[in-house]
Amino acid sequence: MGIYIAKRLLYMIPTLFGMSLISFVIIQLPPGDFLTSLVSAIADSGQGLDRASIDRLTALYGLDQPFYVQYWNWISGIVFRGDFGWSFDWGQPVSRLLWDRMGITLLVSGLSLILIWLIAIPIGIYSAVRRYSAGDYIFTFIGFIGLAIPTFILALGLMYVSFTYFGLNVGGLFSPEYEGARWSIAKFWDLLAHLWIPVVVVAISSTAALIRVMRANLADELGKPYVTTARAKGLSEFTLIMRYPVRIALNPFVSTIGWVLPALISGVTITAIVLNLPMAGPLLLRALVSQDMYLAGAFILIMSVLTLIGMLISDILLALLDPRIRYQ
Amino acid sequence: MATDLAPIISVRDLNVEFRLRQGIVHAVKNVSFELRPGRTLGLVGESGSGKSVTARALMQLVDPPGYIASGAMMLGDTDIAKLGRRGPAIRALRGADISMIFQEPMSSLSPVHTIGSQIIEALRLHLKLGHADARKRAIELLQQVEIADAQRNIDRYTFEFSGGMRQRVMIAMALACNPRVLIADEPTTALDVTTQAEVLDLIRRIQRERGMAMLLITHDMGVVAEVADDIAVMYRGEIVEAGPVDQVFHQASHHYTQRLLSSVLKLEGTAELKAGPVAGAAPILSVKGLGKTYLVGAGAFGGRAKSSFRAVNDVSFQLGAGESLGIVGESGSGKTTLGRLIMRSVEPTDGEVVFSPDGAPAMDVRSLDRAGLRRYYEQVRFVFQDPFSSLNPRMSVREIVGEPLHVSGSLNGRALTTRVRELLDLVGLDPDVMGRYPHAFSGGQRQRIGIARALALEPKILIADEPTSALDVSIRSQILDLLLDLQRRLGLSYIMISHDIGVIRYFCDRVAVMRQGKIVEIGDAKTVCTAPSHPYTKALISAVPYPDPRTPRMSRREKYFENSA
Repeated sequence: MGIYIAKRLLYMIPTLFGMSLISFVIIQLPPGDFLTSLVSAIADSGQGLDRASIDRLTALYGLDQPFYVQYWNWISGIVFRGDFGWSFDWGQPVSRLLWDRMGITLLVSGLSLILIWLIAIPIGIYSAVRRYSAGDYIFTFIGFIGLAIPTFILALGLMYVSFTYFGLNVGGLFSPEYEGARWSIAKFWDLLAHLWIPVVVVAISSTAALIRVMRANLADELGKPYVTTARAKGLSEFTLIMRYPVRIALNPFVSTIGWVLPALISGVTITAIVLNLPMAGPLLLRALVSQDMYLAGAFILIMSVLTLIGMLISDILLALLDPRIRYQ
Repeated sequence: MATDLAPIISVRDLNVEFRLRQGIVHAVKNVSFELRPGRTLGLVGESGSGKSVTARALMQLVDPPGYIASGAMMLGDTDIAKLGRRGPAIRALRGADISMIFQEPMSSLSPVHTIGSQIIEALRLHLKLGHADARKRAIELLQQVEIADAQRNIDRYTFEFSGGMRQRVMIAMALACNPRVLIADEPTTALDVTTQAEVLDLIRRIQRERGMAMLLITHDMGVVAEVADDIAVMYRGEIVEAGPVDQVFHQASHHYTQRLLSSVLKLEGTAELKAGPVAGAAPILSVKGLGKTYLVGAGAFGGRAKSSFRAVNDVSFQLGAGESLGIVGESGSGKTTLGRLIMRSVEPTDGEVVFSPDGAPAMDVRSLDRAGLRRYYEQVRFVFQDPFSSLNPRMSVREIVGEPLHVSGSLNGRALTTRVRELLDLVGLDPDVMGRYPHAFSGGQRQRIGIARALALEPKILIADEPTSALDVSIRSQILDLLLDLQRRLGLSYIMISHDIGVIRYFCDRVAVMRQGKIVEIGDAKTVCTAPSHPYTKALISAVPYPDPRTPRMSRREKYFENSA
């Protein structure tokens, strides 16, 4: 097992290198650079920027250097000093902007993922075992409605309901009185009171798909001979379904962790904008619009790394769940 | 005879039905039988005769849309038919009073649980043992079914065992709670003959020791003759004949039983149709030193392979024109790979294959280019094992049979249709069926379609890989007779790959016995099958169950060990 993990970690290195290169290429792809948009912004405000100062800024940011030098400067800063570069737009080091946002994003996504599983797995099992029953149809119907409602409408609706009927303060992460306060139980509680809306919104939109996945996986497994064997042993229907087919039907589920994480992170962008949450999505959007290349690059890179880590986690979990993989 | 013992289970007028869209299918009709302690009832019949459904009904394991429509299954004072599919009453019986061994041990055991945990589960459930006691008992059980090093193997997974070992695990699991009735549903069908003989020995021994009643379900008359005390023959859901094994085999009264036995016994002899090879015929195919090495554990980026595996090792033989050569061996012996090497669908590592058809220059098959291979494939064709998956379900019979003609560009349009009609006629199918799709045909008919396809380009050689193993025994001899008839009419040569000695003996002029990639013995089919010279061949042939209860063969079989060679 240790060797397996070490091997997987080793394989990650070339992948990481490739991904960092692609991230850098992507942020370089749009025509122009941050200075172009800066110059046009200054021109819009009526002032002119002379040639000399543009050149000076270009040299300062290293924008006149060839691609590979820029890439090396960027990646070596990240790897050796943890320096993700300078955000032109915010006038701050990228790393200072990054971690807060990433932390909140991971928190919301992680909680959503857990909520999704808590809803989807039991319903999926129920639907598979009682296929074509009234309950199956009802859950499927509700699931598809959840899938069909755009997340921002759901977010707006939930905000409206909880504000008008329950008088809750919604939007953002904290009520005003806790905004700058130190961490305490009360503040944590306040955080949870704000957090449930985005978590629920994100979860509901992804649950239906996973219910279908679980239902299909399990329905395939239920007809397998080993289920009959377990039944012939005299196990109760609940025990045998949980112990045998569900266990095996979970495998494809676990292997989706890798891509569910990044999908969630980019998926919550609209919700985050609607709810005014300080998450990664809105920041990335703005960075891309203003061609704030180091900030955008850092986000893209970190999301790629998260995908890789997700893949690693799912592979390790798979190996734990399924001895056939472990012994290969 | 021990028929005076009171039955453990008596089944009266059992009816099982399946409610399908097309209407109700009566899978089991008015079936009655009794299972007595220490005795084995063999329930025989061909596929679809309802024998498995009957067995499952005994444990209320018939899956919807099937259900028990009427009848009684008395176990003591309990009527199993009234217990329903679920609920504690039937669960208390399953695995405790009645247990079952299934056909395919790989898929019937969970791949993600250790074998120990699957046995312990049953022990804890019914005998209420603690974990430590259950584990101890599970180890004892594994020892009883002759699994070596049970202490260590209990924590292993199914995929770490061979087929025969897995079936032993299955047996240990079934025996865990000392059941009074053991149901074995085709327990050895997925196993090689030598393994089959050992597993049947084991089942029979344990059953006698414990005085269990056994219901043995099988399609193999040889197995019943060797193992069962009584027989019930099922045909289309009904028991058409029942009685002690000797009586049924020697004084069968029902015409279906007679037909079944005669088709079984036919395969014990040699085909009457067999023409015999033309004396002094030049070899049409000669194989010299053919081998295939697979590298094991080579990484995706090259890297050195951890080990290599010789699937086929230095195989040489000659196939005479108009001759049938059998290649027999157990699973993993390399016989299928050999067939593929000759076809070059798997690239050989070494050796040579020379195809020398009459009146044409010889072809060195290994050095053929694309165009050359194309010409080779027109003359050497393949008949596949599984008539269900080897025909494209979305193509009509006309398209399937005509495809080789179409691909080679030799015929088109009306001429092609005419040729397809000829071919279907040749294999004994009504040419008017050619607009239909494969699902409309039975297994035997599909195999005929496959043969018609192989014949389309007028080949010289057919390589048939287990062409009859997916078919019922009565259909089996029909297909073999068809092939022999075609051989006589078209002057074909055959390479028949099979694990079934009966098929080889019936069909082939010469036979090559393969083991671990090598030919251990090659010679005249009759000689090899009746007086084998290599100890492995002796063991193999003596392990084949013989369909006559008066001359059991398996119990007197010879065993082959690596060092006895």
